[in-house]
Amino acid sequence: MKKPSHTSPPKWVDRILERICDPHLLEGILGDLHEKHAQYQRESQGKLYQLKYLWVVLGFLKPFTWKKKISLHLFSFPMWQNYLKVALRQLAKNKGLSAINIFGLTIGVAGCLTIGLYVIDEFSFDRNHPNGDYSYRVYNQRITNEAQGLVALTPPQFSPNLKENFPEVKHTLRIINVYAKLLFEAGDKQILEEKGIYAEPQLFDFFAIPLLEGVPEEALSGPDGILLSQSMAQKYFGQESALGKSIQINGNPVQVSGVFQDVSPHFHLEFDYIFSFERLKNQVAAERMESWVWQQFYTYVQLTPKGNIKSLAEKFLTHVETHAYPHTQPNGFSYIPRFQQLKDIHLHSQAFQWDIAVRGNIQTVYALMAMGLFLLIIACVNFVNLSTAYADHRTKEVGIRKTAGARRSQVRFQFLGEATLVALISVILASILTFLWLPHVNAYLQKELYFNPLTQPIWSISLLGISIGIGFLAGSYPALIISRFSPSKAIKGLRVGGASHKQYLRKALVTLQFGLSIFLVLATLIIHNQVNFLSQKDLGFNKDHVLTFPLRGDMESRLEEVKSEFKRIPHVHNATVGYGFPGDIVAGDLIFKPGQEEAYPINMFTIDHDYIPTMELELLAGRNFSKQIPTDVSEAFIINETAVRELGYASPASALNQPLHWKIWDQQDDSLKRGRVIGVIKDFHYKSLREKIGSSVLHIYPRAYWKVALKISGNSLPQTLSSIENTWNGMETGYPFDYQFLDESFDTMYKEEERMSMVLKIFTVFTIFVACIGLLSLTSFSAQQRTKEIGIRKVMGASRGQILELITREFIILVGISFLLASPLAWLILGKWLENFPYHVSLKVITFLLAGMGSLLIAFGTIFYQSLKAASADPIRSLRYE
Amino acid sequence: MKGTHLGEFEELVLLVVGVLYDQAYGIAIQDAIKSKCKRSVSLSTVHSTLHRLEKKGFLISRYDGATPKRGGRRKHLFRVSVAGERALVKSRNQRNELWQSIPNMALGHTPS
Repeated sequence: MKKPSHTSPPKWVDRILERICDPHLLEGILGDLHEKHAQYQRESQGKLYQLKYLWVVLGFLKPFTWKKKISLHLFSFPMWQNYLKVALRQLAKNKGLSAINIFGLTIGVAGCLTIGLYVIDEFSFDRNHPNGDYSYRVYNQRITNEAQGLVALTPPQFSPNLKENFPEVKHTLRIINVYAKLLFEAGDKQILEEKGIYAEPQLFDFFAIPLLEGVPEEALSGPDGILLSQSMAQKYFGQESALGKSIQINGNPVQVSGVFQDVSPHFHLEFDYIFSFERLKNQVAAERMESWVWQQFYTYVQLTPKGNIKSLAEKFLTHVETHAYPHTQPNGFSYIPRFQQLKDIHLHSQAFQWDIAVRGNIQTVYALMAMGLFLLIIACVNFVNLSTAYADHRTKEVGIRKTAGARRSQVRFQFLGEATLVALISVILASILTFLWLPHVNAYLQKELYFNPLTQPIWSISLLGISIGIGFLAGSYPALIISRFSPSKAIKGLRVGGASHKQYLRKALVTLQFGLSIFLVLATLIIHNQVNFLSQKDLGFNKDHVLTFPLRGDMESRLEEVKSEFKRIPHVHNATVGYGFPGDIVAGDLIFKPGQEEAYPINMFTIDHDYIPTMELELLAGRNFSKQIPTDVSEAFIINETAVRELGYASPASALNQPLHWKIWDQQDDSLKRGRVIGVIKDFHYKSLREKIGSSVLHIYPRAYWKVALKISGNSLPQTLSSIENTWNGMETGYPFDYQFLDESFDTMYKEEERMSMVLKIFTVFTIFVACIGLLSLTSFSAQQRTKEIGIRKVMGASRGQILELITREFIILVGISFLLASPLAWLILGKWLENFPYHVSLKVITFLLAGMGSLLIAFGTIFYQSLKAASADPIRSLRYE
Repeated sequence: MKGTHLGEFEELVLLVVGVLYDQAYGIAIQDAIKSKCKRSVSLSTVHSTLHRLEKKGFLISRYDGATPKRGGRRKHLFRVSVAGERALVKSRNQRNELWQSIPNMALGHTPS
């Protein structure tokens, strides 16, 4: 094929050169290049000449061809010295302004840093497991007629079915929690241990749990072995090797089959010991392990690298529909299995019921991130506002610099540098502050955050980066404005910056600051209200001064004796035994209406005659169980209001005497307890207020009793407690006295909300404070700018009040606008948040008005003194100003 | 402005500009250096040297002589300035003086 006689060189090359080359040289260079191109084209055969041409072009991308000589003047050392000197002098000259700038930024950055540390920590859960990217936890979306919810527990059948039917599943793992406290005895040590699990040997395929003693293949194989954590092994056996040693657990000997390194604080599971699954199989009937209904297991799956979790989820759902639903649906529920990645467990499981994972809350994390960002924005806004405001004072300097030959880029660089210097100082101060308060933060959040830039180079580099980032963020606008000054005007001292667009920007920024602050105030108020509501709502029973502890030893066989022994202690008002105390584990079960196929899922309380008076539950209809009526033990049920509704009775009174059937636990032959409703109680909140009250049935069934509850008086608590302990010790159960107060277990339910409320309060104060110091300095600046105007106005007869109004009006209007912008947003977002709670406060207009009035007052208070000073100034002096 | 010292390559380019009188521009100079001195230099080196010489005042430039091959662009043509000529003369005189003061016995290994 014949080559065209002449093709022109690539256009984009020309364009690049046109961009960068000095126009004086450009034409000659381009002309020569084109000639060269033609010459190469003539000489060469293939396409390679294009490369040769580009090589030649590359030679021209050297400084001598550039129109801007950036490199030379920005790297001149004497100029840098001068910049630094001028910057430091500026800081020293405006001490107040500099202090405000640095202080505001310091607070902002320190807040951000602390939040950053927390957020990074929250996101670092479960990142280091072998094949963690292919490992998933299975959870269920549980569906009943009335409700659906997410449950972390799955039936024992999931694991074998996943492993056997799906080739892409490499490993599966079942874990079951040891819910009870077990008594460990070794040597002279006798301690109730709380955190334990049963796990299959595949545990080691899923999680990074290094064994210090023992081998992974054998450690979890036998039924009589136990794995201890390193610190637990040291607690019982000191420095000696624990392997093979015997330990008594609730009186039965087991052998230590291995010691594992304490689990990482960034692991979603928290346990001190592990039993083998074989041990569990000895305790549970074999056919129960084949159940699709019994849900007590945490199931994990690991896929082969090629496995696709989406297709597995679909296939497994079909599998579950055919195999599990025939068993679950007669029991009134079904479920959809779902999968989540290991690294998502910590932050994305907050809605799960029955989860033992160490859980955070992604909403809290996002809220905190937003707060940190708000704080930083507000601090930066102060910086921008003050720098642009005070730029007028530096017009002369810029004018002289420009006259002496400074380029715009140099001036820009100088001012950016100054901003960066201030940012750097603030970041250093903020680091010190963070370092100092982190121990307190850790104590409050129960975290182990660590921060020391001196030993963590990654942090020192990031902090430097952050300083430069903030410097550019906050400094670029002032730098742009200042460098634009024309030298002749600047030297004459004309206010170049007085242009209206800058005023608009300043106003917009103040509005932004106050909008964010008002939003935070509203959030704080509403969350505070909700937390108060949670902790003070009438729960339908009296949680005060009730303590519970488990039945031990032979107590179960002589319940009435035990109760009366405790009741003999002064200040112990009442005693009851049962299974199902508020704030504790409550059983889920089914109740049947005779003659109907359908079962009703309910919460089951197996209690004794004294439960209702001890808990101070309110009876709406009927009566409590009575010791005078012996049939109450075998034929009576008490239900709650919700159950009245869901079982379809018209009213509490009409529910009385209705027949109900219950399948008796631990009976092989499905025998039924046939009884009638003898009473209806008012709904009471036995779970946290985050959950709706379900249908509940209370009845007498002594075989399930496992806890004692004592109602004591609030007076002389220590004596009462020690007498109770003495009585306990007198019963010689072999266990130490271990009790819980009901109200404490209730309070821990709202820890998360309380913490969030507290953190929010602190940050709101920070934010308002930073916004206010910004406003304060802006007012004083504005008053200073208008000194002459105010003087003239006063001479012309303006009163002090009028002047005051003149100065404050503008800022008050801005705060008003911020309020109008922030409150609908707060209404929407916090309304969404409140919807997380089935029981919540309603948003009230009064809260919003309060927040609005409050911010107006704070803003007015901030600027009042400065304005008053300006308004009371002697006009003669004002007119002489400058 | 840097000193008026004339570097070796600068002197060469200056001489070639003189040789090519009024037709001295980038490519022509590059070609001339190649054909007369058997030295391959890159185009950008020639340009940067010309630029430097002009800044030192040894060259005067103008734009003229567009051709289609150059995409219709004019050539950046150079001529030796008075200062340039003086620098060349000074350099040659220095060399001559040095040549003449070499004793006969010191050289003579290569036939001239």
